[in-house]
Formats: sequence, structure tokens, C-alpha cells
Amino acid sequence: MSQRVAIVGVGYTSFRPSSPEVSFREMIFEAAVSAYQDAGIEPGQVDTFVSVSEDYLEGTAIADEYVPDQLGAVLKPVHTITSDGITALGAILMQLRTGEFDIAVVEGRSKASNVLYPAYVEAMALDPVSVRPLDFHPRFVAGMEMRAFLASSGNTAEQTSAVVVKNRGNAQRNPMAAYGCSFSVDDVTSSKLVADPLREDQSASTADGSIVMVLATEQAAARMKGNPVYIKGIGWGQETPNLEERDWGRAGYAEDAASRAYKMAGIVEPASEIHLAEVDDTFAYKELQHLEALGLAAHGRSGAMLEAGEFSFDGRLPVNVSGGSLGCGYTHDLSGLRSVLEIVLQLRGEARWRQLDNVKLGLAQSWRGVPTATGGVAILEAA
Amino acid sequence: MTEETPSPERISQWRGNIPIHHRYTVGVAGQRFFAALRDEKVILASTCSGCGARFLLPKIYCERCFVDTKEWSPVKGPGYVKTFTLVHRNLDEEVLTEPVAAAVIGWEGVRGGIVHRIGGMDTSQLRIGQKVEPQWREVRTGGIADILYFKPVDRPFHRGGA
Repeated sequence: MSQRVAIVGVGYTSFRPSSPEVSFREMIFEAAVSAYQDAGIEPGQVDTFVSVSEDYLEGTAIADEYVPDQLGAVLKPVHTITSDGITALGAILMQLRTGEFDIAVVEGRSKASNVLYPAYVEAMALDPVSVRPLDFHPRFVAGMEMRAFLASSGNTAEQTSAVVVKNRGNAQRNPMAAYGCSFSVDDVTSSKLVADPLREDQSASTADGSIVMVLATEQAAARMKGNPVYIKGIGWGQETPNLEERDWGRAGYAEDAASRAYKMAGIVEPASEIHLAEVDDTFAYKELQHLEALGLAAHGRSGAMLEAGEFSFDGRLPVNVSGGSLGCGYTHDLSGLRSVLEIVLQLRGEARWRQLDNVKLGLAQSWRGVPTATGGVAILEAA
Repeated sequence: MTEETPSPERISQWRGNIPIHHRYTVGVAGQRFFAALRDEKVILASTCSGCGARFLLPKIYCERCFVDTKEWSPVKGPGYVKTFTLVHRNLDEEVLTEPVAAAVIGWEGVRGGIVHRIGGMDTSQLRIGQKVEPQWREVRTGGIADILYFKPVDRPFHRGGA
């Protein structure tokens, strides 16, 4: 039987709308230094590294070539996952379970503020022959999906605004978050339409930041000083890239990733077994859609459960106590790792002003963003 | 002249861009599909010889049965709006004076559909399920934009319908 794998150290910068004073390499270095300190290791002890990034967002081709130095990974195995942070975590888990490595590192970063025209980058992800020539702002994909989700689930646009109020409110307890704010459902619902019915304030604004995590096999973790958090289950998956073929109301990729992660973790009734969740909320409707896909809310019930306070900071199943992407800022492919980070801090009892009581089992879920139907789920357990 | 105070702003960034130009191969299925748009003003779907599923956009393979699709035939009758949005921005993030309607259009009995614009109507009245047909361009070049937009099928024939 393969060994269990633990996250034994985390390092991170704060998330902020821009970071003109540091380069992305310096940001990674900051996160790496604190991650190694947290795990109580020297970078030389790390056997293998995985990085997550997208060349277009980095503004360079073969961006992973720029990764090793600031991680202490020169002349070590490094590879890059061009998906999202939870998929990168899965790649590390697989490497450690080969038995060839004891200690591994996963790294991600966002320099979103350096992408001067992000819509053009997203547009490059649309089918170049059948969709891109139509010249839509790529957020049209989110607008179409939000409409289909609301129509098929019966949730309302006002309930998606309530997601924003909750998450940006939660972010006020999180010193790492860029967009903490106290406002009302009416404030959100009166913001400008971007891709009807999707409004400006129902979309996360971008942030810069970096996260580095040290992982180890159970055997290696036992020799380390850290406070390990175990990866109990993980899964990832993707649907068709063809917009015209999607089942628009559902987040099938999240259902698929969750079923794999639950099976691996031995979870039968996620809604009663999981103590807290960080789910993708790049757009407010996505939180509701994802909660239903993850089985944390019954089909069509997520909005009402949210309004009843079930997913609030003091609710039955707190969701995005970190503030999520709406509150912390959207950090592209780093977002999945940011969700994992929050679960780690909560399970270690280190979440300070937003610390939840008696949390032992947490779920982190990611989505790769417009126009993808790709994402991952990780189930984490306190030692 | 006074010496300039060093400003971190002056040296904090370097601007660059990525000039990329590509040719995208439309493939065997794409050639046939776009030629039919251009030359015959028809929307071609392909049918799986195994499970009988009809694909739009057409493919030369069925990903479920993993066999070739052999039959090709035009979609019949009006399409319908599966989902849509009114987009208020362009790629430069400028607010448009009139929003653009984007939709996924499907046909009964067909898997998939076409992503396109909706026009020829007051789009504030657009609803899921609206029946639509293509408005063809006069001059067609063999691309998705050979269809100018999808427009509502004449109302009198469909009043009270889906």
C-alpha cells in the first residue's frame, strides 16, 4: 500500500491588487523561504519540484525555465503543470507515492497585475476557428453559464450576490486578502452588467501573490518538526473544450473530480463529513454551482442554504472563510493552492481571527477559469 | 539643471508584448463544414456509424464509440437558443453602447450546436428556447462568420410554441 502524503510546510505572500516593488521571482523566493522555515528543512533536502503556470499569463514562452533558482531547485527535477494548483498538488502526490522521493515542493504564483489586457489572453483560449472570430469578450462564457445554471437549478441572481457579500465579508478577517469589504446584496446587484446576468461585482478582481508548499511522505514527515496535514483524497478532471457541446447548467468537471477524491478519502456523505470547504468562486454563481456539484448542497438548494447562513463563518459548513477569490483576489492557476493553503491553516489551528473550532477534515476545490471546464478537488485531514 | 530624484517608478517595469501569428488547420471535418456554409448555405452535422449520435460542429470521429462518422447531413428546421448572454464589453474593456447577444444554438436531435451572435431582434426580449435561423452573409469566405448572426424565426408561425 502506498504511503500517505502530508503537507508539512507552507509559505506565502499576502495577496494584493498589484506588486510593483517585487519581481515574480522575488515573490516566489519570499514564499519559499517561509515554507522551508515552516517545514524546518533546507532547500537542499527537497528531492523534486512541481510548478504551476501558464505561459501567456507569465508573458514568456517556456516560463517554467524561470522557476528553479528562487526555489533552490537548480539541477533538481522540476516540472510545470499548466492547469491549476490542485492538479499540481496531485502531480506531487503521485511523485511521492512512487517511493523514489521523500520531500517535494509545489509552487505557484500570480502576477496578474502585469497582464495589461487580460481579456486578450482569455480570448486566446477560445477555439480559434469556431469561436474566436466572433470577437466576444471571453467573459461571455461565464454569462452564458450563469444564465443556464440559474435556469436549471432555480437559484437566483440575488443569491449569487449574497455569495459576494459573504466572501468579501469573510475576507475582512483575513490579513492576506486584498478585497475585504462590507456591503449589501443590493450594492452587488446594482453593479454594472458585464455579461448579462453576470455583474461586475459578481466577478473576482485579480490579485498578485505566491504560495510554496513542502510535502513529504508519512515516513519523512515523522522525522520533521512540522504540523502535518494529510492529503486524504484528490481528484481532477475536465470536460469537453467545445462550448457548443457542454451541459451548461452543471459543473461536470467538479462532480467528476469530487467523486474521485471522495472515493480515495472514503467519504460517503460529504455534506455531513466535511467540516469546511474552500470552493472556487471566481464568479459568484460558481460557488453555488460548485457546492451542488460537490454534493455539499442538494441540486437547486445552494442559494437557499447560503441565505439561511449554513455556509457562513459561524454556519454549519463554512465555505470560503478565507474570502475565496472574491475576497482574496483571483490569482489564476494559483487559486487552487490558495484554497488548499486556507484549509491547511485552519486544520493546523493557525487561521487567527478567522479560526474555526473543531475542524479536522476540509475540502479545497479549484476551477481553471474561463473558458475551461476543468478543475480539481483535494480532501485534507489534520494529523 | 537640478539633478532628478531617482524615482522607483522609472525603473520598476519594462514593457513588452507577444506578437504571435498562427495558421489554424480546420481539418477534414472543418473543411467540409465550412465549404458547405460558404457554397450551399447549409449547416452540416456528422453522424456516428456506431451510436447514431449527430455531432455539431461535425467531427470525423465519435469520442464515445471511437469510430469514424460516415454520414453527413444538413440540420433541418430552426435551431433554438440553449443559453445566451448580453455582453457589455469589448476586449479592451470598453463599455459597448449596445450589448452584443452571444448564444449557444442547438438543434433537436443534434449533439452540440453553434456558438454565435443573435441579431435581427430586440435582444432584451431574448429568452432560452427562442427559435432561430441563420442570417447569411452575401459574400462568404468559408468561416464561422459566413453566418452574420442567428435571427428569430418569423413569429406568426411559432406563436405559442416552445
